[in-house]
Amino acid sequence: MFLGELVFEALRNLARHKLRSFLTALGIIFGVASVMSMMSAGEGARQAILEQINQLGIRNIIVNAKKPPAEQNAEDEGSGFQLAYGITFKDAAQIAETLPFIDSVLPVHDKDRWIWFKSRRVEAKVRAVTDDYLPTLKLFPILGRTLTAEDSLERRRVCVVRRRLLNEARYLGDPLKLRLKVDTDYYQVVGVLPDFEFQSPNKAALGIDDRALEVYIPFDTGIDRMGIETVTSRSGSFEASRVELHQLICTVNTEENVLHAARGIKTILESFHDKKDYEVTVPLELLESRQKTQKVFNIVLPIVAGISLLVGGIGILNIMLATITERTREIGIRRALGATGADITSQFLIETVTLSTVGGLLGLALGGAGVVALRHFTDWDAVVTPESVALSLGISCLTGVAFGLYPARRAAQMDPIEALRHE
Amino acid sequence: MPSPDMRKPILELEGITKSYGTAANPLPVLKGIDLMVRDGEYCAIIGPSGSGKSTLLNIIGALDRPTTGTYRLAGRDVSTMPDDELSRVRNTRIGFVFQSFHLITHLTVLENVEMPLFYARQPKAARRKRCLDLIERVGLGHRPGHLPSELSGGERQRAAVARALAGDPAMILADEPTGNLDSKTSDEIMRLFLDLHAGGTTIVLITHDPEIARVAPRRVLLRDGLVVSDERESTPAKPREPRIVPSEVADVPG
Repeated sequence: MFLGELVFEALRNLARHKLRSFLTALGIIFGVASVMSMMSAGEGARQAILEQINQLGIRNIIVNAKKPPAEQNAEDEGSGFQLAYGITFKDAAQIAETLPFIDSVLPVHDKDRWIWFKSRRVEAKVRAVTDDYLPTLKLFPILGRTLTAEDSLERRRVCVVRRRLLNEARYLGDPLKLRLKVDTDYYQVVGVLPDFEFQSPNKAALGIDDRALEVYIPFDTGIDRMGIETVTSRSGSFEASRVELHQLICTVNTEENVLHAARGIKTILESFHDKKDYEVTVPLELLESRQKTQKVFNIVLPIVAGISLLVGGIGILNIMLATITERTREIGIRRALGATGADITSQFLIETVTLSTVGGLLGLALGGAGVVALRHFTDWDAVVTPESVALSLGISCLTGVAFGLYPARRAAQMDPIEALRHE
Repeated sequence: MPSPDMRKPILELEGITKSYGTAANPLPVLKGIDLMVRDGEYCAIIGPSGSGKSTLLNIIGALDRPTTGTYRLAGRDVSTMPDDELSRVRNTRIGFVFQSFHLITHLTVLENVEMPLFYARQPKAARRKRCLDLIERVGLGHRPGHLPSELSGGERQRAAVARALAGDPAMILADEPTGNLDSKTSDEIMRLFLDLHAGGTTIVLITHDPEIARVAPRRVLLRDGLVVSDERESTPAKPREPRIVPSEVADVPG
């Protein structure tokens, strides 16, 4: 009860000098706002990385075919009209057979094709994948079934599509009754995948892009019916390319072995490829680099927090010392009427803590606005966590206590007789 | 009314001395004061400047301790108490009325009057009720919510008297209570003190002005740190031209 009245009294005193209180709290406001937005940005980055790693699978190593830079192709131009690059069946076999930690190697072959629905056509990426591919990437159908080993073995002409493809094609009927035409072949839709959203770095790692809609078909069906050579015509001239595999997803048996396996894969690929026509993505490495940033962050954050505490605190200390001089007579009166030294200490300490806490709350509001701005103007998904709010408020309270104690003690130690005489 | 000598002593000073300066070169201000004020007495301590009046006030008010001697207030020895206990004594036993009112300027009359009870940790509701009654009693019933700056000098001093009474103290200690007031309001305040005295409140009034002190039934004269005279009158003089009683003042608009 006594405390409540002191807080109320403190708030009233702050309200009497609004501008002065605001200016005093400014250091705290900016300090808290920066601590909070920093923590939120860090947390956002952490969650993004974790989600990214989670999507890709922590035990997976992804190898993508990459069209080599133009100057490296020069020698091939003469030898034929066909540009051969990318991962080969031999690479896949070598990785699967020689590296001890690899559980499975999943090959993928892609073709960009027009998909026909009656008279409508949609450009899509047709991906020939083995039966393990979709479960490995945690892509489960919302309708129908996924691809099976038998589909591939019997070269069935079936496919699993993304729901967005159906939307693009303006198809409103039962998807499982739909037959898509790819080139000259018809494929029966057996499953529909949800509109999963991959994060942009993951799209690159998995060879997915925004405009292409994927159609997944059994691996052997795809290789048999469409081959591994692609001819594209562009502004009148033909360009032929030969890519055996566009992607390999290697699953390692345990997390500890991922980095060894990654080194093995890189060594094998280096020995088979003269050109840099592949790219290895190791999700676990993302985690490691994330942990490094986290370490830097763990050093920087306390420093920023400490500086803001210091700067905000000195401002408060300064104004409280001035306040105490200004209110010397009030202190004398209160002492004469029976306030103990402890009463005076708590009065001014509470006033300081109230000021810094109000500053902290304003800082939180500013930090919140900063987070909203970050989300709006950058692609950082800053996330406000309860910890960051608690820490920021804790810092502001602590600043009030740390820098309020000295002025409050000084007020309490004033000689009541002198204080009463003070003009 | 029992005879003055039968009532219990409130204020007992025995051989009070107070020296400032260093131990080697002491500067004695009070040189051994003996004084007893009994319950319900109205005692004026008169002293010209330099007589040690303010020093005595600080000691009686438990704001300061004597160098030697004993000071008992309502039976308790105050002269050697630690600071926190002195605060308690000021809070519960003494009601101060100062020359320059000493109201806290940013608090309302009611909040100022409540302050001793606040430090006595009284619950808000009880505090408020008692203080509103007191404000009514000193004739400020119409303006408990005003700030001191919105009151006249006389009204401010009435508020200060109400504040002094709030803790139900053993005595009211008034330091030149009329020093900052014109003669008319001065008389009003003195009349208020007489009313309180008639109601049984113990009052110790410290002043340099024999005119003001004339009102009190007992007058102690202080000179050079010593009590030089102590006179009592069975029928004290009335204040100059007593006209209106405070409760009627309250009804005068403005």
